[in-house]
Amino acid sequence: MPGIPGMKLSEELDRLKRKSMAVLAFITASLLLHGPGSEPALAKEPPVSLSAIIASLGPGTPLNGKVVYLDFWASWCQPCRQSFPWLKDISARYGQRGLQVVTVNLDKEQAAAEKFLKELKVDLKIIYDSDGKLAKQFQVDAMPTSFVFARDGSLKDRHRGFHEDDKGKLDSLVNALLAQEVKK
Amino acid sequence: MQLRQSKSIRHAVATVTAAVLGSAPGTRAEPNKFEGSLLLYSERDRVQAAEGVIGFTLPVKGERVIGLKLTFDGLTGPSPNGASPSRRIQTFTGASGGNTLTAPAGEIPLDNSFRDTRYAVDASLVQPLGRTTAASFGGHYSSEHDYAAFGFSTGLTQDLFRKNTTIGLSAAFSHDLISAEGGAPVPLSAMPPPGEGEDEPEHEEEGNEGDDDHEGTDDQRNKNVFDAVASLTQIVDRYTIVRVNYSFSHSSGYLNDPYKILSVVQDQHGDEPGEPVQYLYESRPESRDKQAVFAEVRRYLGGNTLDVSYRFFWDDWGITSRTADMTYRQQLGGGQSLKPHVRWYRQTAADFYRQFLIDGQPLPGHASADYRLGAFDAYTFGLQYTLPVGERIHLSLTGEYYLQRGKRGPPEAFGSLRDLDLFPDLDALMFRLGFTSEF
Amino acid sequence: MRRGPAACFVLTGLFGLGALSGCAPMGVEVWERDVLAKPEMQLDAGAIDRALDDHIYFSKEASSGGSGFGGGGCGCN
Repeated sequence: MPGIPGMKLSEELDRLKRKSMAVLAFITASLLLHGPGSEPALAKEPPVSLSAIIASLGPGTPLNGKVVYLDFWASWCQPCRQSFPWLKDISARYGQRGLQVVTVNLDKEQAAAEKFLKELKVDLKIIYDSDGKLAKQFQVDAMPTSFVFARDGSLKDRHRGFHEDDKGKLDSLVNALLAQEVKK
Repeated sequence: MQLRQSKSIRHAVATVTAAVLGSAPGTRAEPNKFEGSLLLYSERDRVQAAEGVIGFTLPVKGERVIGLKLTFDGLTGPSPNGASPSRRIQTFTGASGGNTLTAPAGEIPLDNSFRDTRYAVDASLVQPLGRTTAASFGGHYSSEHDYAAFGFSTGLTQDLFRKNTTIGLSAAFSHDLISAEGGAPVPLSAMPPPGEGEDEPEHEEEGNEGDDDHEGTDDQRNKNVFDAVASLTQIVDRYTIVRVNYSFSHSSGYLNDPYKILSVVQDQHGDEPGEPVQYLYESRPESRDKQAVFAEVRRYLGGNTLDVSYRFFWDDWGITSRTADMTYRQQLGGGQSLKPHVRWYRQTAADFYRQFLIDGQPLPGHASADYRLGAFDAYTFGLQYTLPVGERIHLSLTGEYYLQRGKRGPPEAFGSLRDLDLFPDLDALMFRLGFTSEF
Repeated sequence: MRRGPAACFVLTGLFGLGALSGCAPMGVEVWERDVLAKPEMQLDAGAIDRALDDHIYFSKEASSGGSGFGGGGCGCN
């Protein structure tokens, strides 16, 4: 059909513009309604305490006066697996100064966790929480999640996920907390 | 020369994006991935094709993931040219007014056997924005001797409710350039009788009607396609995941197949009703709006996996279709698996689809006898075997059978057409060899 | 799952994002995604194979569209 190509093109562009606006509006609306990562700030954290952890560990592992790094993980969680070499590392480096790393495993089958630990030659304190009771108590909403407690047992940080870039920040935090003396 | 139906750009980019997004934001700590697949496709007596794809997925600094996909394909073999069968031998002019095609008596005419190769490059980038959001961008380029396409796409995914729900939105735009061999013929103009080698088909030249220069070789057509998809993925329980989505596509520009024709046959009162009088080039509208809704459920059943999906499609050319697809992955020992696959497809014809035109009747505005726009059912039966090789590699071998059946004897057939198969079954074997690896 | 899965999809389809709350009660805790993390449960895996298939169907049939993207999996990080 003969037509003036120029005219057709501008009609096309108009339709395209309108469609793009609609798509952009939809995207913006979705971001506004359910904004990215509305994670609760530390101030609004539900009160979590180490008492349940202390109970699970028993008298063999006293946590009193120690900086505690509590890590919830599972063998099927790739970032969790990647955090272990680092957990082993900080445990080795800071253990003497009073850091206690405690890992809580959330695998439904303990065998899967044990296989992983054996492969990576992990020798950290571990609590098996296959029915997720502890995870629920700590309101774990990401895998992995780690909590850092100061020597006085107060919660200093909840960390969701694990990335290469996180190592530096967490290391500094642990270092700083270790430097604090316990206030009796 | 067969012009392949243009590929959906959104779709092409989306596959790279999907492959990349499938590993983000959730498992962004994924190692690098390298995968590839080779497809061999063979229709009985018709098209043979081979297609190879290799893809890389690489996490880079800042939690970004880059994807790159390279595709090569080669096609050879004839395809129905749109003319209906006749009691007698038929001859047709070739694409450039040169070589003549001959169709045996009683058989559906096929166009020239030909060779065509295509290569395509797709690149994508996924950028996480926080823990629960990711943006993606993609680009596409493909080229074959009579067709080139450029496209870009963008998308956004948002995780909600502790990542049990994910919504996604994507949009893609592509611009295609079609340089039909011999130039694009005027729609519904007559195909010149063969043997008159100097006469080329009438060419459409934008704004240049009446021009004497009919070289046609630099006659180029354009097509623009806009695609959008809105998607919702929901975890139902520990063993079940569901996805629904809505897709929309708008194409405009040159949508004809420049090599396809229709037969104009003698009417009921002619000497030989149903026999061809002449052939006209097809004509399709210059715009098309397509929509589809899709739902998929995947369920884990004690080590095996069942996947069922359904798509309902409709467009403004009057075509509707239904697709039901099912796979069942049966776990075997040692990480191996066997996965049977069944697909059922049914489509209705486009409003302007005609298997033939009748001499003496007024020409419709648009008409096409391309079987791909007709009404038919299609069935696929396949089996895939996968085996792990070492810790990081998986190989898979797939064999599938595809059968398409239309109306061989539609009610409107008359005269000689009544005894002929107007929509022969199309069947094809597909064989795929693939690998995925992590490093 | 007071209203069931249907509510999630139908309401969202009809009323857009505002109705996504129908999806909220559904799902699992983050530590219950062991099965969903398996490779065979990833809807987006096998994208290259699917692309090859879709290419064939796109060339032989009049329909297009279908796959979405994102979601599922282990949900980690």
